[in-house]
Amino acid sequence: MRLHVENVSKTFGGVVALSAVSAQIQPGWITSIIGPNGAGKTTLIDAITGFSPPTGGRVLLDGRPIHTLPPHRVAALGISRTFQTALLFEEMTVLENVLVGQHRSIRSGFWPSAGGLPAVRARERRGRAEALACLQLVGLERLAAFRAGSLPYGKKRLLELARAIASHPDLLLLDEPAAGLNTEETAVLAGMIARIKGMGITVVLVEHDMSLVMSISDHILVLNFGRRLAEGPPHEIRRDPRVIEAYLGEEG
Amino acid sequence: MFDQLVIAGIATGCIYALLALGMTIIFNSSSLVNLAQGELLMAGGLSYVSFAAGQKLSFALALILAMACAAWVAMLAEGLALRPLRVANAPIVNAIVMTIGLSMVFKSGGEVVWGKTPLPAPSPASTTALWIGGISIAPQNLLIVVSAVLAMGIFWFFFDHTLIGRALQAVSTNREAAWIMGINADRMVLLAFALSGALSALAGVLVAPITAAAPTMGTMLGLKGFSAAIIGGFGSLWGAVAGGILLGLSESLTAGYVSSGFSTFISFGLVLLVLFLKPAGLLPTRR
Amino acid sequence: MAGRRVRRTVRVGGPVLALLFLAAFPLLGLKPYFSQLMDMLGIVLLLILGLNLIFGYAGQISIAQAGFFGLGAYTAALLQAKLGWPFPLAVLAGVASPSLLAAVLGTPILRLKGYYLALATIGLGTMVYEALEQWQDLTGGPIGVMGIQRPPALDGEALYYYLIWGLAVLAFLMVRNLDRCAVGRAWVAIRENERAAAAMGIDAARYKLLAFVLSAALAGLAGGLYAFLNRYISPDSFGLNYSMILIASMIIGGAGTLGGALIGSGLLVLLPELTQAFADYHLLVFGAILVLVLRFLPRGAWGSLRRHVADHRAGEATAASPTPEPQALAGTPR
Repeated sequence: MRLHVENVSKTFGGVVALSAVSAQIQPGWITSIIGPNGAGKTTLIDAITGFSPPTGGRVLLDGRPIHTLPPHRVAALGISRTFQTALLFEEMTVLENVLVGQHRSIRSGFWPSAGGLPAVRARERRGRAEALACLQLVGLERLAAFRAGSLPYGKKRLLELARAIASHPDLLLLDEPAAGLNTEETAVLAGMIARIKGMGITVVLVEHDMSLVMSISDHILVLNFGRRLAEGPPHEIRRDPRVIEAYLGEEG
Repeated sequence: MFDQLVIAGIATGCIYALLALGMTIIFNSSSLVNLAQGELLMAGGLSYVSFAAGQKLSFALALILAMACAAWVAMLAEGLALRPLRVANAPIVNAIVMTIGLSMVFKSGGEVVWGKTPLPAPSPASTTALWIGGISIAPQNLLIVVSAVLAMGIFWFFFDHTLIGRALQAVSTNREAAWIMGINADRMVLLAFALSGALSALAGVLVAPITAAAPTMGTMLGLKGFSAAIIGGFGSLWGAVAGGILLGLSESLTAGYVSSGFSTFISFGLVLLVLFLKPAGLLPTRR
Repeated sequence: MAGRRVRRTVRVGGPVLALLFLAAFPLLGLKPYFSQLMDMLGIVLLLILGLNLIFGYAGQISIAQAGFFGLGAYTAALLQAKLGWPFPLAVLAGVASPSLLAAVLGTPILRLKGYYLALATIGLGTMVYEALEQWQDLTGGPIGVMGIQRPPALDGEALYYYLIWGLAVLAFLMVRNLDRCAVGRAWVAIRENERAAAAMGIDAARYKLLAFVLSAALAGLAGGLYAFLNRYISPDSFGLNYSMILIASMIIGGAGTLGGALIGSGLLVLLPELTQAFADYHLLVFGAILVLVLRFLPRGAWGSLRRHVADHRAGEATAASPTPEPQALAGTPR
């Protein structure tokens, strides 16, 4: 599953959020997108996943343009994502949240569903078992019956991750998954992302937490003011003067 | 006939405009759509009848008391039923349904207090038609237009040129910023509800002599006021007024030239079209 | 564990008892007044089950349910009384006409949200009501439609009761099945967070439309059955007021739950009977209950109960161990 971002631009009214950004996402790698606030990182994810179609350029999946597709169609192609603030289904239980992640694989047609046919119920049972496995992956299986809204923030982020994994994506985009997590939680998150990579899933990570980014990334893309600033393996990016200046400039 | 229809349309439009204005004031300050707005009109109309016909008070006094009654009911609704929802960050659906519940309570409460039979309402305007510029105008319609314009003028002055009015504007624009500047947003919302109630009560007093006052008098008018606000661009005070006049005119002309029985049908058809094609309203947006 | 045993007994025994009661009811030989009540209960249940799909599960405000109800009733009534259509076809047409209306207008209407959607559905319902009232040549206007005839086979009250309740039970089972599978979950996901639902591959527009059309179909079925129940209908029963009462019932019972639909229907049908002495007050009581429920128990009677039980059970499951930490995974990252 090869994702190719080709000269993608995005303008909102008069504001240029992205300007001719190009990138090739290497399958099987963990690619991180970093940059100061307002650099356009989330906008790029929104553009790739159909939530905010680009005003210029294209996004290609295995050579096929996908940038005009609505979000649910992009998801159907095997691209999953999480959001900057954990967008959970608060009234549902933890397990049900993950079950929604499996929607595409366990849903049936309307009439069989309405009729409660055995095949439908079998799919439900299978789905529940798999959902539990996803929860075990993130360590939330004991909380399966809890209402998602009652979880503390750190666990909500994990639940969102489990839900995204449950859809068996080929490509997983994580939008600031470490935001709001403490050091210990971030270390656990790092382990989980590594394990996700081990499952063969390509990961794209938008993050501010530099230690996390440097420790797990295979490749880093740096954005600033909506443009691609630099790209390369962590040890190069760490020493790149332009990147340092961009971040220092933000602090100043 | 055309002139007649236009006059009638403008008068009806003023009623819609008052309701639309009331709903917009509430929405701007509390992000809530009050589906019970028509019932505030009803409270005003019926209490006016009690004061004017029952207690034989003068028009002005009865009017002021009616407006006070409706304002009081509105503030009660906000304080007891709506504010707790806002504080609890309840989903917007809950707030909308709460106003539906309130409209049920007000309407049946009105039935309990005043009974179901429509009551005749007195008016200072005579029933003989006036002749102005060759056109026959019903004095009640003239009263409606003049009163509405006067009320809106007073409201505008209050909104733009008094301290409290500016405070209300501030809360409508940005509640957090207003809090920071020391404005008690909760009290401003109460004020918004009171104003809204008063304006709707005025509409009720003006329309009651024509339609008679009954507990059911407000519902459809309230909905049309809502429609008017949306046609004019929901959230804009000017839009509410313009939308009201537009809706009143189109309804009157449709009733005259197409079919009077189907005028409500056509009005709502128009509303649906606006919602489908230009939900931001027919007028250029300012907010 | 005794708790689980009790729960299972209730879960299986409850519905069995209810079904037995329903089946035996006409045989109890009660006065016709009571069977009329039960008939209305079945019809209202259809209405609220339908409303629950679009408003309760999917969370889309629909204030048009009475309009669909009326359209279904009038379609069936006019086809039978004026054109002599046989009962089954007339009722089927009663199901079809609101469904078609919902299918055609549903897409633009459901693009709207919140109070825009509320006004759009109010507008739709009002237009149907106005058409029923004003198109006198077709519908008879405020006088209504008289002389609706049931087929001789169904003239008996007991048989008609079984028809109504047979269909109501089927509808209930259908909603229950949908509730327990991906379709029901998709609706709730859309209600809770449409963005996240889309990210999970759920086509929100399609699912919303499905719920809308289903709600109209059930309302149309209720309408057809209602028309032949009293053999007379008038526009009065199908106005905005009734849409609001249906919404109130659904919410008081518990939106988005099956138990809530049952409780809400029961309340709607029985409350006027209980407050007969204060006939003028029953709308007031209804509205007051709705306001109180929204203020203190927004999930409704059944919804709050369910949440309480679920939270308690979840607490039980982790009572033995402290809050679990995420497992440290083997293989630290590089």
